[in-house]
Amino acid sequence: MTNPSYDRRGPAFDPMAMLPRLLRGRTVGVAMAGALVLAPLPVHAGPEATPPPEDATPPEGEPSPDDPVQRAMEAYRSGTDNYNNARYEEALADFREAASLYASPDFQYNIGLCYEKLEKYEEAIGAFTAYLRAKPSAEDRPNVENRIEQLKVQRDRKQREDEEAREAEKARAAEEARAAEEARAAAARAKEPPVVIETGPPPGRALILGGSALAGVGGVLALGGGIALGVLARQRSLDVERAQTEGNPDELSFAELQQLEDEGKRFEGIQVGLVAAGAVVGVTGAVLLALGLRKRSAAMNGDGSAARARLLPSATGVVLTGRF
Amino acid sequence: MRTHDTNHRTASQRLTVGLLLLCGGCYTAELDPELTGLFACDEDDDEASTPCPSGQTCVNHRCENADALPSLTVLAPEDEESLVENVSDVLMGMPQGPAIDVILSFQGSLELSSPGEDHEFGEGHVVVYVDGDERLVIDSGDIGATMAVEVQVPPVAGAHRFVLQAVRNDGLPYDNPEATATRLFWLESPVTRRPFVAVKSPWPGTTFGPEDQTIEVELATLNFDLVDPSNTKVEGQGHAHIHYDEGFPMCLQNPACDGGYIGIIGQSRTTEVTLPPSGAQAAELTAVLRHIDHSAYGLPFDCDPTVPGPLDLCMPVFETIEILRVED
Repeated sequence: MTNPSYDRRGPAFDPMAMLPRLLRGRTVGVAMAGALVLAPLPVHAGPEATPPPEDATPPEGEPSPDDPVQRAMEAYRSGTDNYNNARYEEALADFREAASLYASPDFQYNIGLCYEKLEKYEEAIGAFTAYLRAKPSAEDRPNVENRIEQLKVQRDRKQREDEEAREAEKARAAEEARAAEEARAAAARAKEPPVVIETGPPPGRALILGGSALAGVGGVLALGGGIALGVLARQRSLDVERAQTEGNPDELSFAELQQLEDEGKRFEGIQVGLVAAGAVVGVTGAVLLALGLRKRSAAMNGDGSAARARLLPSATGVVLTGRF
Repeated sequence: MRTHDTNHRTASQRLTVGLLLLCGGCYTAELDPELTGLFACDEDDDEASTPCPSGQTCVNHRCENADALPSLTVLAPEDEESLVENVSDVLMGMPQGPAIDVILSFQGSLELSSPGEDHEFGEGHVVVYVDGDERLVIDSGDIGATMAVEVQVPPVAGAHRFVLQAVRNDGLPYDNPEATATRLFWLESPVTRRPFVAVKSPWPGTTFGPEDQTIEVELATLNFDLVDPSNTKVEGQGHAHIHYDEGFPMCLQNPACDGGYIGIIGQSRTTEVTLPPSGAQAAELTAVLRHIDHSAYGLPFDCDPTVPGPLDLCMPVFETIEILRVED
């Protein structure tokens, strides 16, 4: 439906004159009451533009600065000017102000245009949809609907692009965080001594070490103690024998020889004890050692599941080595 | 090759160690306490220490069979036996005439053998000393039975001493007490029959330490009765004074002679005297007869030998023996 007031506007007061490109040939009609210019209507001046109410018309020849229509008109003009100068945010604010002062679906159309320029497609679609809802019989409805569809396409594309950008940003942030973490780890590794991480003790190690130690102790006990005390016992024996067979050249008394004999027998007893104890300990150690070696051999031949892996730091990171 | 040699040495060492352990390092000797002449000992050992095995006695620093110790016993002359012989007496001037043959009878346990052979315990010879001089060596015969030998004794009236010593083949005297036998006897003139005194103990030549010590002195007398002191002089009776290291007989005429007086012996014939401390030296021990009133007993009876004058006119009756003070 055409707004009659739109058609009645004069060329001097045709705020829509500056909007042909904006409105794509549409004319904007603003119904003004009296001698005062009509309240500026939205740049959209469709045939169904709603005229300002009668009671909103100020007294003729003296428009009130507080008149909402007047203020809407001023906001409309400012919005149009900003729009033409590609100041879309300011234009959007002006059109929103105008819409708040004067209810016209055309302002929603203009708001939609600003949102479109600002690539706020969802808001643009909302504004155009509000325009069609408020003006169901709009002549340009097919065009507007078509525009809405295009906006949806653009919206979706933009959403995808935004999503991809966000994903890319997240990936970039994650990469940066990982790089930072690696840098910190590298710095920490540079300060700390190399760490060797053994995945597990060598198989049979405890048995080998324990067995070797026991075998050694047993051997020392048996050989060292046995030989030392055996030598002592033998020396006593030789002393007593020499005294009895060579005429006691050392002039040993019976008591002294008895003492030598007692010492010799005591040393011999201790010797036997040490040798026996050393043998027991040594054999135990040998058995443990054999078990340990057998276990290690089995592991080396792959009969067992044991594998030895070593995790070593290197200049390029971490190197995993192992014996299987 | 190097590896082979090393292995060879290691095997040898192991074998050596094994042998040491198996047989070389054992006590194999067996002390036999029945062996004699083997174990060293010392006679000065404390008896409680039992330096020798049971049944053995320390002889010459070796433990020997106590049942086979050399031993000697004098049978004749009898102890303090007076043999009246034609001997000289100082009262009759200097000793004159041949030595007197005295029959020495003894027995003992010793396998007699010639000197110079290897020592064998229980074997050896007997040396006879007369008044400290070696006079006879007996290296043959059987002393298990009684042996009698003639021994020449100086023809001087007074006390004489036999010492019989069992000596090993190597010349070392057996030092067990049983291997030495002593005998004090008298020779007297049938003319004078005068009193004599002799120190029976200690035996001449006995050794003592240098420190002051108490010893027992035993006297023997001939023709004189030892009685306790009293106030009346009786011929043939009196007591004896013991002097240490004085110069008898001249000392009697010196009032300072009593400085060496160390004891008196009366009826008991023995007393304990204290030897003064001394260095290592020979010392004299003198027994001199006194009248009952302590005046010096002289010959003839009524003379006083303490009055300066010729001693052959008033002879004191005394005997001086030599003892030894030695360091420990």
